[in-house]
Amino acid sequence: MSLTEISEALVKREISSQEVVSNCLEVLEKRGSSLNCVARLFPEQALAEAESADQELSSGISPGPLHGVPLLHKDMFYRTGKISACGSKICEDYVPDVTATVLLKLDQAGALDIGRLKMVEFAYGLTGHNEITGDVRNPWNPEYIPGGSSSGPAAAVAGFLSYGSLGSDTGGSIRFPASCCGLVGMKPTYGRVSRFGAMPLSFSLDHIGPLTRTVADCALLTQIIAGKDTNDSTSYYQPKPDFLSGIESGIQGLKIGVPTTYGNGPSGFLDPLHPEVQREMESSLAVFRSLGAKVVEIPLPENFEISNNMANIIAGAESSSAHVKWLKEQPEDYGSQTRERLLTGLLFSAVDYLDALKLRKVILEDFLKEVFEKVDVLHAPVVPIPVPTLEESNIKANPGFIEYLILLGHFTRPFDYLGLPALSVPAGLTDNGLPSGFQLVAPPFEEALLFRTARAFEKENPWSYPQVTLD
Amino acid sequence: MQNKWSAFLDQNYDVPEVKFALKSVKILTGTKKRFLKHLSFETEPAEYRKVLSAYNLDIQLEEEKNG
Repeated sequence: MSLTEISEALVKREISSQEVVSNCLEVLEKRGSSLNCVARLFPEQALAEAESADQELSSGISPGPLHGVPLLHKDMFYRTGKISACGSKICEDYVPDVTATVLLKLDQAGALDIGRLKMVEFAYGLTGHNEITGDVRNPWNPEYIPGGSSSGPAAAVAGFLSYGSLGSDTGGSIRFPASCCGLVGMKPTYGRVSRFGAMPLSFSLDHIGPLTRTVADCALLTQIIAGKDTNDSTSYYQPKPDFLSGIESGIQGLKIGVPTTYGNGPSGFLDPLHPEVQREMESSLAVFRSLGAKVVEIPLPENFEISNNMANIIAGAESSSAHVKWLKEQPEDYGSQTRERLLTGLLFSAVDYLDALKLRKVILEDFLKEVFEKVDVLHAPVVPIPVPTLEESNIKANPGFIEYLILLGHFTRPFDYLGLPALSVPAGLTDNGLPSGFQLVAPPFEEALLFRTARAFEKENPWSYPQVTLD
Repeated sequence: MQNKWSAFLDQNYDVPEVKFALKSVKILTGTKKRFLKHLSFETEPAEYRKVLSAYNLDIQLEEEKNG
């Protein structure tokens, strides 16, 4: 059952919250350790809250859209009195005294917060490896990476251990694992969703959004968590349309852009694409054409070529600034890859950092003008290569893979830099049997358009998940 | 801190990760040079957020103007 289906079943009282939560905890117990995706569970609290949820429904209380639905989230969303370890040794005992705004919004919608899911250490990495808490495994094949940094959420949702989950995206950490595990993942517009009470990695680039199995589930969760928050100065007062109401209205006449070169230059945005991923991109575009969309090639602004690099400078400087105290006092408590990334960030000068921030305005202006005055949405890959195995992408075992690391975020990081909404959608399978996704990118605050476009694709190209048969 | 770390990097240049870090920083910072000329003297980082939030308002105003 999807998130929307279980929510409806609960409201109609076809099933009780206690039954759903008990079943969920049982499945987590059985399969959670095989996927190594669970950080910690709150079983007693979950069952008590489920009982209350059932009593409230019996007494005729008006339910929220997620009344009695159990959810688990990435281990970086704070709740007063509960540990948020952020995938690290350094924060393994950290108990925050605030609750994340997104969790409060889910509480108000009636959701039950029943546990936390593993993640890349401090959310700094796209493969999903974690030297401290162990590598999360991909439910499609446990030898392969689930993607990161929202590795636990992606594995848990694709493995049917959670109906949906919140993750964070600074360089692709929602869309990348969503693509690796065959999920729908939304990185909303910068400022659409409050980051208050979520672990910071890079405050200029951090976004929060959901990973789900269906487009409607993703729209529902985004609807609930979006909105201005006085506790987050970067959140915007923007009208929030109903993301679900127009979701079935199709895409006849929609203009979809496929990126080509940077300006008139020789190199193209899609240059690093592996042929098998390219094949899946072309198949998905054929589906869009069959649905009445017009697919057009579009050159990107020349300056967009440096957006990935500028994002890396900002992420490096801001994350190093956040971690400098621990880097000085307890560097040995970091995993080696995280420590090296954070230390690299200390090498950027203040001028480099500020230039990267100032250029963002110029590149965004050009991008809006040169792309979104010509097309409604942009279609692009998410992961440039077929999903690699855990072993081949482990830098310690295979140092040669280090050259791929910057490349991995090539298609995702630029849209964190520009703050544009981007939705990862499952496209098909590469020859290794692992999923490959595409992303749709829209102008600022046009998440509803992304959900409508993705839903049209999903209806035409239904997706199914593997049965998890792990030891 | 930065100077200390730079010295450490120089001393350990032959370590693959250090080599990669230095190479990365050089590449990342080098690419911006040819676009800096497009930045006006007055540009501030916060202007990015104005561009982001004003986009839909600009479109709406344009549509209203065009009937």
